[in-house]
Amino acid sequence: MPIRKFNYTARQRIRRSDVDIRIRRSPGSPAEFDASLDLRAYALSPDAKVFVEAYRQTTVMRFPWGSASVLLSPESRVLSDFDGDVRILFRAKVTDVSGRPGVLLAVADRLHARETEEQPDRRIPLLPPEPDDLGEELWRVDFEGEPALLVNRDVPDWKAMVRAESFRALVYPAALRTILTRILLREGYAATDDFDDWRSRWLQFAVRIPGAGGVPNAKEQYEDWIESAVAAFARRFGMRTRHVAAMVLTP
Amino acid sequence: MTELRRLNDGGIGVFQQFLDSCTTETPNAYPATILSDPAWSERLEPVVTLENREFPSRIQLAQYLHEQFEAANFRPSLTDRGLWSWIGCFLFPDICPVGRNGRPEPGANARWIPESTNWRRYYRHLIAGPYRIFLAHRDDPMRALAVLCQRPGRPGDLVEQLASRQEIVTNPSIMSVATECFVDSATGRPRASASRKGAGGPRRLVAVLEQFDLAWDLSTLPTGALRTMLPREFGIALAS
Repeated sequence: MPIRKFNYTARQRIRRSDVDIRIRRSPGSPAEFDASLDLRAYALSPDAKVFVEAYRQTTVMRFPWGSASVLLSPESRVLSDFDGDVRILFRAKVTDVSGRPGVLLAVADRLHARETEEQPDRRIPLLPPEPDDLGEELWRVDFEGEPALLVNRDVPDWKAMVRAESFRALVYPAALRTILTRILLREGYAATDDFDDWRSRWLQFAVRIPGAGGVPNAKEQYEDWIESAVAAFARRFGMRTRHVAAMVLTP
Repeated sequence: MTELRRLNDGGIGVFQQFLDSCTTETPNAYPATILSDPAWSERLEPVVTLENREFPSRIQLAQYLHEQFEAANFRPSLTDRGLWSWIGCFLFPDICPVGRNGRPEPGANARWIPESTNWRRYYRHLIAGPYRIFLAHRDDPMRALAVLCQRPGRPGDLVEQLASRQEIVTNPSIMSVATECFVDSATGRPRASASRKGAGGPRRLVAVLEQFDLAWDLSTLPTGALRTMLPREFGIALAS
């Protein structure tokens, strides 16, 4: 019997906008990161411990970050345990020490770092393309962290491929179908009002496509709704028309 | 002893064709030549040597590789597809399960050719998988015996359940408790509870730990505290 999950300790979710992770890469040495946290809006014990964790697959590094009242970054923030510095995710945790030691008071997970020289971008790209080793596959939707469109890095110019009208017309409707299927049918998640959750943001995106309509209440209707949303998406962006035009231009 | 090399794209292709052919009525011959032929594989620096031998368990395999790498002062990249494919091909005769008809049953290609960046499959490589876990617990690999005690070619459901969850497989306290639950300390082999589908089994442990993970910072919890928090069904497992 599946176990239902309850938030019986009133754990708080730290908003993405309250955590900014920057990564600095220098050739020949491991990447280093920095983090800025703003915990003022959360009701936390002043002495609660704060940690920032970097992780990818079986590699985890944990960095103590002071307390909820006095945030203090550690001297070394080098990601030395990682084999390369791509696709490292981060989480921030606030842990009780005095009331109920070990209880998680607040958390933000699956955080992506930005490059130090980049400006913070409050616009969140829904499906960023990322080059990857995909063998003979050309693309794949990846769900580690938030969805990403993995593109075969061994294609001569993968960026040009992603920009091509034909690629967009063939791939993006299929990717949208994959993501909505994952959210509604595999994870059984249907909330559209939590902007901090990538699933809500995707459902909001789909709901706003003219002709898609709202997410149905009945689970039996999810599959049908996904098909409608994908069809509406293809109509909205004229996928067939753009594909045909691209074919005419490049016979 | 054989010098460790890295398969190139062509070599990986040949190995892949061989693996695919194992699912047909007419399997290709084992492609031993790609391991040393410069057309299919390249030399590595520093030189590491490996030998074909029996590995009764995943921990012995991982330990062996770790020692060979350390001896050569070699830190392998966990995402080096050519390297781990070469090792997969090299150890194929030693660890690939054999069916009743005497033919190799390699299973999915990801067990031999790593899909290092695929978070749903990266841990399934039969060699890089246990090596990664060994490395994550290198201060005390025995604590991770729950996912390292199996035969290299047959990891089974316990490994699938625990190794597929990053927060679980990297957590020292959790892995110690999982090992207590599912490994017979006298024999070092999995207990009967390791293959249970219901109460006291691995899937149930994962469900319970995922609930704990919502409430507790499991990284700070010592093993003893975690044991006392587990439901009784795992107490039964500990005693069985």
